[in-house]
Amino acid sequence: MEQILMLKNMKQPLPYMNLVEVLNVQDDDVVYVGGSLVEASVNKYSGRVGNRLSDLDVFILRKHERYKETSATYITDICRTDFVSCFGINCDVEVYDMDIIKEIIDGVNNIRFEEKERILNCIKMPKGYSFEKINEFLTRFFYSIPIYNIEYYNWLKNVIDINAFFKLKEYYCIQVIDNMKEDIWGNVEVGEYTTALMLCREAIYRFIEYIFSREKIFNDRRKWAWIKIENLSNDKKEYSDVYIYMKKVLYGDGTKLLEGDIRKYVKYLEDKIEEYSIEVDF
Amino acid sequence: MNNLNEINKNENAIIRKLEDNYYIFIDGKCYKVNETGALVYKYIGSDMPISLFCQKMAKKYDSESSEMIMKDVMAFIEFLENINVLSV
Repeated sequence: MEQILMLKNMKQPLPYMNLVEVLNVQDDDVVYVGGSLVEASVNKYSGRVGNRLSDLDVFILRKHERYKETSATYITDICRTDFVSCFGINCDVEVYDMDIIKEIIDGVNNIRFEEKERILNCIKMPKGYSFEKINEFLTRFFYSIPIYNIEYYNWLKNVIDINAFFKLKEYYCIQVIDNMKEDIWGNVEVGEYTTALMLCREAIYRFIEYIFSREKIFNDRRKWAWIKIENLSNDKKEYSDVYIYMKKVLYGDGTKLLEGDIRKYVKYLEDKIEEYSIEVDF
Repeated sequence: MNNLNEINKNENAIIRKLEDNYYIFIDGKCYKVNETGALVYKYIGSDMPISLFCQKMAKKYDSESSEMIMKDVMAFIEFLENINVLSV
């Protein structure tokens, strides 16, 4: 039976095999499609993510020897990127070195939290990779549809300890928020309320990322965080006040920004982090 | 002092969890506390008689003596007061 990819906002159906041919796939490549169009169809909290102008992202995990020989428009430390069109659908193609992907998986599976260690030192990352890049890779990997070598794709997915990754991301988000608070108060002190508000917006974004990690929801794009938290708050009422708070910080209560507003925004974040952190109760 | 709402947390104090441990940060210092300490910290400032809080603690941790718990809780509150985490 011919397998066909058809997603909401896609111009037309795309047979798997046509895509495989256009991509010049090698026998042992793992190929999957991801990005916003796919994410909207595989993750229940990503509804409305992506639109008719979004490209289709294609990912190829390739064995090291062949990866080195892969030609591409852009070559970075992380991947090789090219662009193809298949059945009139524009595809961004990213090819990754399978050895590096295994290093990422090993790094995630060996996360060990140490009291006196900086949070991001608890994970070993391949050369050229930042935590954000690993987050991006995992988001696109977990919210994807496999096209070729599906069994191996599923095996890779099952072998990654995503709980360890999300725990690390939780701690990291809180650390970022804690560091930002100093900056917020510094700006409040000199009357730079607009700068303080911008920092509050950054902090609420990190807080939303923290909630996503608690709920094991991947996110790698700031722009989609707002849709996902809205969808999550519709599904889980415990987060509805977070969504209301987020709107308040984004849109404000009025045109005049006061020190009290900033204090209120930070206090809310602090109370919520405390509420979620102290899980023990009667 | 009869009620936990008679105690105020210092706005600059924060508590964070790493694995199974809790850490209270205040004035550039960090104090490691256990789960029961975190529970006390959580309820400080809330409207609950201290005696009721201790009874709940006794029940949660299967302790027969809530008096003993009361003694420990009061000692912990005094410690938190001494390190500027709260004011009574």
